[in-house]
Amino acid sequence: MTALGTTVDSAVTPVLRARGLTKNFTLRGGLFGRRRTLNAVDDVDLDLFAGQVTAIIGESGSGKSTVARLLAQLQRPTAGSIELDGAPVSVRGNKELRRYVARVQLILQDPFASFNPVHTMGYQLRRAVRIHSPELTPHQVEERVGQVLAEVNLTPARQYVDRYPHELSGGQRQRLSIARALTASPSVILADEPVSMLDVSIRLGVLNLLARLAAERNIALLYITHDIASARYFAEVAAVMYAGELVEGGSAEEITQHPTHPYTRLLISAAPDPDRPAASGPLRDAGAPPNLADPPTGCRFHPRCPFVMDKCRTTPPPVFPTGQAHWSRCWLHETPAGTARLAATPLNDPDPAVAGPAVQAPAPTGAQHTQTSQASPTLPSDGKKGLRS
Amino acid sequence: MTTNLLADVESGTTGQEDRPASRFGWLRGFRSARTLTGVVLMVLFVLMALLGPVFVRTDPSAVSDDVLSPPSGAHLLGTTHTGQDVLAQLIDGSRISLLTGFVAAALATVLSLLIGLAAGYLGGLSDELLSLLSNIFLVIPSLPLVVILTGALPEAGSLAIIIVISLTSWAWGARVLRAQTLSLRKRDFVEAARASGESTWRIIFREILPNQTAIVAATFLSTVIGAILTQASLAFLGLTDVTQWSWGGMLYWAQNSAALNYGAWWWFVPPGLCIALVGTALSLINFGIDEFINPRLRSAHIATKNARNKPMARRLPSDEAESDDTGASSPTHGDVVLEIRNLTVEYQTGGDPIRAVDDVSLQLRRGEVLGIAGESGSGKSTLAYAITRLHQPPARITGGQLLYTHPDGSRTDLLTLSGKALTAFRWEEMSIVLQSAMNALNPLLRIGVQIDDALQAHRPAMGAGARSARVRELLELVGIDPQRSAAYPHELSGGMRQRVMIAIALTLDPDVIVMDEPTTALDVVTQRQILQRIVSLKDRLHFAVIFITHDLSMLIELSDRIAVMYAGRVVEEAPAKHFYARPLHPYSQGLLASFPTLSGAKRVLTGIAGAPPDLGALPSGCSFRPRCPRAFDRCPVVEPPLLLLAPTGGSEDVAGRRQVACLLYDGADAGRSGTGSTGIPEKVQV
Repeated sequence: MTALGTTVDSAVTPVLRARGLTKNFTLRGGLFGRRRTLNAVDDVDLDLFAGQVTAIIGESGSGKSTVARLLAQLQRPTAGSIELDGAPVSVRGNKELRRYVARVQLILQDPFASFNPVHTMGYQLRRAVRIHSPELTPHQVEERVGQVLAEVNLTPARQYVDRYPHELSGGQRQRLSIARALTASPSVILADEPVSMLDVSIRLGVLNLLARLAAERNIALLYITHDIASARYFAEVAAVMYAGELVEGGSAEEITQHPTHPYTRLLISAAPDPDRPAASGPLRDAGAPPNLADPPTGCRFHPRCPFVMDKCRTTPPPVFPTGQAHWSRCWLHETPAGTARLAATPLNDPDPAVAGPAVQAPAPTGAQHTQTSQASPTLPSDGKKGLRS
Repeated sequence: MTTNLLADVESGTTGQEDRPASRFGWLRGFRSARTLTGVVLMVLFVLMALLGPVFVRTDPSAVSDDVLSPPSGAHLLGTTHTGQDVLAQLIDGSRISLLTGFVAAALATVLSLLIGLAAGYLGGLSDELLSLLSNIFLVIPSLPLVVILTGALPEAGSLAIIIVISLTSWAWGARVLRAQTLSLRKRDFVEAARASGESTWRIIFREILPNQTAIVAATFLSTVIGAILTQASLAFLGLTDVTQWSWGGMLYWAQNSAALNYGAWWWFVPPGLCIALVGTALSLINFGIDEFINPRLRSAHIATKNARNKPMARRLPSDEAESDDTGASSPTHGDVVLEIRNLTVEYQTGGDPIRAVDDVSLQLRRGEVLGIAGESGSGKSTLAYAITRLHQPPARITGGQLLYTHPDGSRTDLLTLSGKALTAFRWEEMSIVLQSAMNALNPLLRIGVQIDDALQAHRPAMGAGARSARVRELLELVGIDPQRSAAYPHELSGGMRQRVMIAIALTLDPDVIVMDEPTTALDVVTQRQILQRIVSLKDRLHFAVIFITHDLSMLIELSDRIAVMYAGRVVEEAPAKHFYARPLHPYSQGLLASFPTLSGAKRVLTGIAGAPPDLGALPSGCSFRPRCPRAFDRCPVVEPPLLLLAPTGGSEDVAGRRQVACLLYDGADAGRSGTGSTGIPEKVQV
């Protein structure tokens, strides 16, 4: 497996690359309480390529927003590295931060909260322009503001610059956040749930705008979302995040149509979908995501997994390739029998434990080893679960 | 490749009017009579201090023979026991009093700003040290400290007094500002500023500080009052330079000379009154300070006077005929548990009332799920509140009926109920589950107790044993282990809390449950679990659900029938399956073409151009017209009525009927709908 997808040559360096990204938060339990560590993001590898939309899909608390904040340098990773255009990034001090954020811009989820309510939109945009281009004259700043507003289809500019945030609609404000990001001419945009607070009829327009900018300006776009269906339409490459880890990755279409991780399958069967065959049974799920201060041993999904095996309880699964440009962190894929068992079980089977071929014909141990060693060389050498194109 | 699937809906501009904020918006702060009074009073006092000596040239210290004379032409406010002019003293004294007040408050405010902002924004050790400092100053009793400090200072001049007052009054403001800064620091716009590489001092002074202007101003004004009072007290106690005239100093001399015994009211009333009036004026300004500063509050004021929970005053003409009718008019009446008839809800604002729900008619049959879909501003939540009559004052039901059919077939118009009858009805027959409801549980009470409360209130005859059995039963119904009835809300996840709210809604076996976005704040998996629970409970207990959400794909899976709302009106009503297979209204078509699908082939998402309309400035004719790809010449002229389309089956049953408010399906223009060949039923005008 040399590349995910076919659009970009595998020799191309990603614009932004993260390896082993880990973030622990320390919780203080009162004056004499024990300090506990919350492992919000664990060993995440990520490659963002120019002109390509990459999605991270996850529920609240999965750590997906923390990944965005780590990449934006708003938080310092506990471990792991970030490379921008192949050069390691270490941001210390405001000057370096400015240089970095000129390339990597973050768009926040809540368009109502991400603008200062006491300043006009014009003030906030002009400020953003001045930070990135302090040499511009006031007239040029004004011109630049007009340009970025035109880029996000907010014209005429004068209709927006004199307004306060509360005077604009959610869709307009989210466009203004995008405009603010564009003042820097970034090569990476990290969009953290950019449309989840917008009305359904507005979302498409904002997503289209982001997609067009990524394509036209060759921006690498990270689209963080809880909506797996929107990732299918909007992203080329996607990864699913659960309890701080990326558990499955591949082309967005592959992941949504042929999910190979039990958690992805759960997400898909839970998502609203009027096209779903009426025959599909009730959702089979007990439990909720784990407490990250005390994550389960082995696979973090095992307490909820209908396919759970003994190994899952003790050993965290490595990454297994599950198809062309598709990988999954699930022990089932250690053997072809396991993969077949997963594939043979309907998405929402009431009790997969008694179904599937694996129960009847467990693979001999020897065969397992052969399979594993065959699988290994196909993994990307530099990152076991890298999202590559 | 992906982008090709997303068709060309990108434009953000709508037909919205160009109404940017006025530069002079802050002047609106003067609209309030209270604020205006305060400002005028304060201006008068400042003028008195500045210009008074120009007009009253009498020396306040000049002694005359005219002792203790009451107010007269020569001495407008009379004289003291040494014949000094009270008016001259009052004017001269106002300078010291106001100067001390404002300068001391300014110094104290600067101190509290520096310490409060630094502690709040920097956090860590600096926060702990600075907080410790302000806490120490807070627990020191300030008046004794002031007395000691003034006594200790070599000369008790005005400057010394000012410094002493500001040193003893900054701590409280610093604490408030620190708390504010802590919360502002976590806000997204501060995060956005940090993410853009803004420097720390700029974030503190340009992003955070302007958001605290109201608090800073309020702290400043109350410190002014406090400082004036402290100065007066000190002067009254004789701790200041008594040869310098101030209002407190005047009171000191009046007291020492037993003015009260002489009945010389003109001597001590004016300075006392001045102190009281300055305090009042500053307090009045303080009330209105938010309107000067917060750009959001400068916009139109919302009138809050209105009756809530009162029976509707205005009755519709058809009402009398309807009240004793048991449903002969409708063939399917026996099935309908709740009929919303021509319901109109308006928000009474400063200007014209805004119609959030406009002439909505819907029928809910027993045991069905009626889905109401709409975007923000469509009126769907207002409708939910109006149906349960929980709407808050600026909202008012101005027309229509809410006919509830009792199990025995008799009907009640809910809008005629009031007080106790309404409260009883609300939980017995109809309950409500809201999006925010899961945060509405009392954090101090165990969940079992909270369910028990509802039982105790409505079933006083029930014994403790029976109640606790019912609580266990209810928890089991919603899928919570009855053992957990002893849990506190914070021990439960969001999904579990929402289940508790559903259990509370089910407590009294209602016929109708109104659910307004009950699962929106939850994760997909939890959402699906709860929806499944609702459906299975509905099948078991036979209640009917009005389910309101913006998530159309979820609604189609869940509902029997769907009503789509736009700008306060129902624009389409149809059985869910038919609606999904063939939406009729261009808005419904746009909505369905807006959400990405998970299974099946990818389809082209066309979406809808523009943004939802402003209810205060709706376009003429059809409200959807400016965003409609199929609008034609009649659309701006005619407001489309809700047309009943005869179902293909020919039955007029509520369950199968389709209604749409679009001129494409009306009369001569029906051909334009372009769907004739696909089997759209013939339309029948109501």
